[in-house]
Amino acid sequence: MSPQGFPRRSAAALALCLWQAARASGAEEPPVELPEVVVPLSRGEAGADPTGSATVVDARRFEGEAKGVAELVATSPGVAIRDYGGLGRLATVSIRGSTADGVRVLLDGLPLNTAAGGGVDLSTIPRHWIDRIEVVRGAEGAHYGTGALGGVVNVITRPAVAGNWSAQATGGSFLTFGGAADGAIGGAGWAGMAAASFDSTSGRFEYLFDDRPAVPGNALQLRLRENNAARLGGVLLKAWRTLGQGRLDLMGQASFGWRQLPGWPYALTPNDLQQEGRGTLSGRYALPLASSLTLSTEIAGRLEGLDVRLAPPSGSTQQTDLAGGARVQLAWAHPLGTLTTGASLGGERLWAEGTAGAAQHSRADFAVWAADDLALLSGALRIGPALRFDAVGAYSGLSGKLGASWRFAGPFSARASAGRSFRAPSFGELYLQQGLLEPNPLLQPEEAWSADAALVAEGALGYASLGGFASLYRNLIVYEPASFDRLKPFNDGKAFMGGLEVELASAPWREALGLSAALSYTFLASENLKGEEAVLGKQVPHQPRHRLYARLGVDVQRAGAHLEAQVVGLQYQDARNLLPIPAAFAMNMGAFLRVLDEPDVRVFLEVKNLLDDRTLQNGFGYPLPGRTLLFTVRFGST
Amino acid sequence: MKRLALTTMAAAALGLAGCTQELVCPSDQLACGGACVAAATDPRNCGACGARCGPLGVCASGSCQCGPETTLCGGSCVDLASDPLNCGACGAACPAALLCTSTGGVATCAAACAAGQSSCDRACVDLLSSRYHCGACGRACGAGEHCAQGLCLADLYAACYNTDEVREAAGDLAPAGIPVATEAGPLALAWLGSSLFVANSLNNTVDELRFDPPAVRKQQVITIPTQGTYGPDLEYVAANAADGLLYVSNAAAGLLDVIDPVAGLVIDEVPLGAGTFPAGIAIVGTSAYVALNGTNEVAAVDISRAGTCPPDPNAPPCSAGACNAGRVCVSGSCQPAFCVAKRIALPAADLAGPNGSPMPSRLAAAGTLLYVTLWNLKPSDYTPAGSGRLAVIDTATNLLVTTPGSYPVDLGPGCANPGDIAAVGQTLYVSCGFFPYNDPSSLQGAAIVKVDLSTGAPLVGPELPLSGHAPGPLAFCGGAGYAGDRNAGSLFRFDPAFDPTNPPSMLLTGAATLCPPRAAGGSAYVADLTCSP
Repeated sequence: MSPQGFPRRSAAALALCLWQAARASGAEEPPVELPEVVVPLSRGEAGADPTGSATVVDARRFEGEAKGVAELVATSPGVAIRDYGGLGRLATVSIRGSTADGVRVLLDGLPLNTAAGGGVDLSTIPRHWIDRIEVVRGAEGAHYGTGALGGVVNVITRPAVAGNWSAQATGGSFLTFGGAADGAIGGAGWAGMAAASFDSTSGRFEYLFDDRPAVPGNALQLRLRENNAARLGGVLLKAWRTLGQGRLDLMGQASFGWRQLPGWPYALTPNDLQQEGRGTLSGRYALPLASSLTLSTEIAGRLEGLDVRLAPPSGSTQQTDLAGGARVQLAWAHPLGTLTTGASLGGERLWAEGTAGAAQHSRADFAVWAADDLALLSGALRIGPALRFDAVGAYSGLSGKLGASWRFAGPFSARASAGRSFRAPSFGELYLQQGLLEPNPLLQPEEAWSADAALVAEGALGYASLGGFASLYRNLIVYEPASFDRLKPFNDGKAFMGGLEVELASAPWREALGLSAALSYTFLASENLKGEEAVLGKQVPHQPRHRLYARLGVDVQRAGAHLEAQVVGLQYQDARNLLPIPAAFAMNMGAFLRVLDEPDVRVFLEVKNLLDDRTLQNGFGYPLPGRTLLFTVRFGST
Repeated sequence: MKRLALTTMAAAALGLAGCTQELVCPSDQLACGGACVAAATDPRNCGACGARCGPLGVCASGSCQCGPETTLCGGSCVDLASDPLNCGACGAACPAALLCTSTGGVATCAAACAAGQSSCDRACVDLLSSRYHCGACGRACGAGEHCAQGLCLADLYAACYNTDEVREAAGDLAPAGIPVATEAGPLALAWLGSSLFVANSLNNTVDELRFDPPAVRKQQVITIPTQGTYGPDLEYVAANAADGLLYVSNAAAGLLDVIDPVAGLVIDEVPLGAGTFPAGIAIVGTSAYVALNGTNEVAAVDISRAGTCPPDPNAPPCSAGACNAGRVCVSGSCQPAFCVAKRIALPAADLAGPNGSPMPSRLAAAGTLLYVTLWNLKPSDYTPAGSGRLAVIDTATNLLVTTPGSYPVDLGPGCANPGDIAAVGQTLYVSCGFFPYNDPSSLQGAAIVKVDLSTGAPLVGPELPLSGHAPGPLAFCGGAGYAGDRNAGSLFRFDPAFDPTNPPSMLLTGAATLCPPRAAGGSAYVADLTCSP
């Protein structure tokens, strides 16, 4: 479902179009071309939760760098990406130590998390259409619905702006190639956009394999990653039109993926593969009822299919998930801010076929919510309370959030928030046998409590934020030994996550080759709070204490270059912290050259894993590609 | 506004109060002072936290009792054979300078202890056999334990997978001693000398348990490093008394790990191949036979360290004739000491049922023949493709025995999905049982099957049916057979000579719950079972 409120950039575009409409009505005065007014969104402000801890990743900053959704999200503090090996590979996100299931992923406000569970594979979201990504950290159920235990990733696609168009082609290492094109038309009070993209890679990269990892000094072997090809693509259609006093927005999106599954280097799966497809449709109509009252209604639907062909004993599984719903929301701009209330009703059905036979499961969902965005002291103080009730199948609960931000001196502000959220168990956890994993129909919802505070500086020089956070996760669903060698889920998990989040993004320094810098650092102290004596107080597995992303760039309009570094600190595989995973370091670099101004033609070169470290792996034993070169040519109106 | 702020802070405080640690104990244990205690048998917390049994007392079923071979004198438990204050009889105190010693069952006060005895505060005891001074003065063995060679030992040891423990039992199935906490997911046990080694499947560790003074304990944890390159899954451990090494099936990485328990280190890893999923191991002479469940093979691994492995062209030179522990000096270079000498394929067409796969699991040697259990399951859905089976390998030639009746050995319709195999003289015992993942009530093929080898060709039968249970690990000691349950945590005792012509011998002679579930209503897996050495 779409975020609350009306995106600022869309408002500016609407204003511009309405001005153009007035102009076309036949005014006699000679037209005055006004420069386009683009109202930039704050880097740290998400549309639905203005006082929440958020990072807005502007995809234009990474234009031509062949970065997928996961790589863009990874530039934000507080997040951890599980990347299973390069282009087209499974990539999931964890925020503030949550599981992938504990992150709600939206595409233009439409939830992509399915009732089957397992989190959202970010690689299934075509990367070429992205305008920006809002990464919202903390228990955000009150603003975004159930499942947002660690946070939310809201991928927002490009707006339909008449006259805009682009086309690009990419080619590079490991037989990687792809292309994308988009174009928009429009007129007075309407615009439409169509976009299509396709990516393909053989994924056959070399990596260094240790056939005796417990023996120090063992010589590594050079191996080729086989059965690792991927093909992804999709189509996006967007349109908007003023209708009466209001505005109608329509969006349709379809994406598909075919990928081979190579397996662990120690347990290769030469014949496994997966196919998936997703289609979404949404329509939203926003109608001002009065000068301060706006009613918006939305209908949305999603159909998703997954076909996984695995070798026994896992076997093959097919899943089809159909979800849909409607929502209505009323926004009242009162003297102190904006009060939003709403309700939604929907349902989801999952068809699953696999080793346990066929199964169908469905559930309805219902929600009501209220949120206020109070602006006091001439807007210097904002307070954002929110409350939401969700019923998901047999489960229900309340989510709440209270946030505040205070601009106390010039560019400086302080922000704090606290909230509570819950996640209903998935069908996979409740009912589906998946390989060695048994289901447990007696599971209860997981819950999260979070609090955070930060100092923020934002102005002409850029953006800086220093904050701390604490999250408590309870009733977490964890898989524990059952009979034979099988595992079964129970609500036996409890963990504390706390730490620091530092973010820096400078504006380009025009006097110095347009030098810019960006940095995000996360310190995460995790603690297991429930279990045997040997695991109490230990670091939660696969949650490194330190994560750093840093970037330096130069941009002289005609050309530019950048250098990136990523560091992931020591982490552990197991709950008793006996199996360490060494820290990892990787560097990327890139450059671009503007060949033409009109149309805008640029060529890009991106080099990933600059140091060609062929021992890099994702923390779960999946090797990552060595040095990867990608060359892109882009044509466009802007 | 003020009320809202106060409410918010209160809610935050409540939330922070939830940040307390919650200790989860096995369902039959209590949490006492931040640790889990077995109140049924722990003499320091007998029935309740901090409830201590007195000297020479034992805790049985949660209540303190006088231990074996003791007498109640004046409200205290005493050993009349050695107590200087009750030497031979209650109240019969020895003069201050004398000790109480026993010879031929008669206790007397004497100036010195009898031969073979040591003085423990004027009580003369045999430190090698006294259950109240076992290996050291004042070191008492637990309930159900006996003292042998200064070690407090029970009759049986079970790996309780769900609760991360090794639990003891007496021959009559009564719980014994105090559970010993292991690392995560204990799946296999092996004795080497007087130490019991435990392979823990969920965090790639091998524990060493010791039974000498000061107490039964986990002496060391040997970690098999993964470097983060694979997830842990150890499936079996075998101990080789001949070379003092442990051999561990590392199923996740397709490796056979060789461990020096004295050094506490992995000295070599023998690659068995990606996706092989090594399972059971049997050591015959200078070969370790490993069942490769994933590729339907048995690997014969050369463990002779005689320099007979294929040479490594990149081998470093020997330094003064010495090499690292996993290498052997051959012609001036440190060559591999361990390697796969032969892979013995188990053809599905011959050894499995329709649409089935052999899936070898456990091995047992009888003479020069090696018997390998075959799950015989359908790869498509992991259900039985027929009865459980055995393959037979001649270790003299490392070839399959293909004579009729041995290729394969069909264990009969009463056996599905063999769990374990044990060779006792000229008889094999195989435990069987299968149920689908989500329906334990549909258990099928549950039995213990005997295979008579005395006539040369394997003769299958009879079988001891165990309907309603899923027998897994087997152990034989004290003239009885024991089986652990793979689902309900039970321990069974049976007469190994079960004979359909003598019906009483076909009955189970005992059953008890040994391994509890982690939470009430859950399942419990007795992963392995062994007798004391």
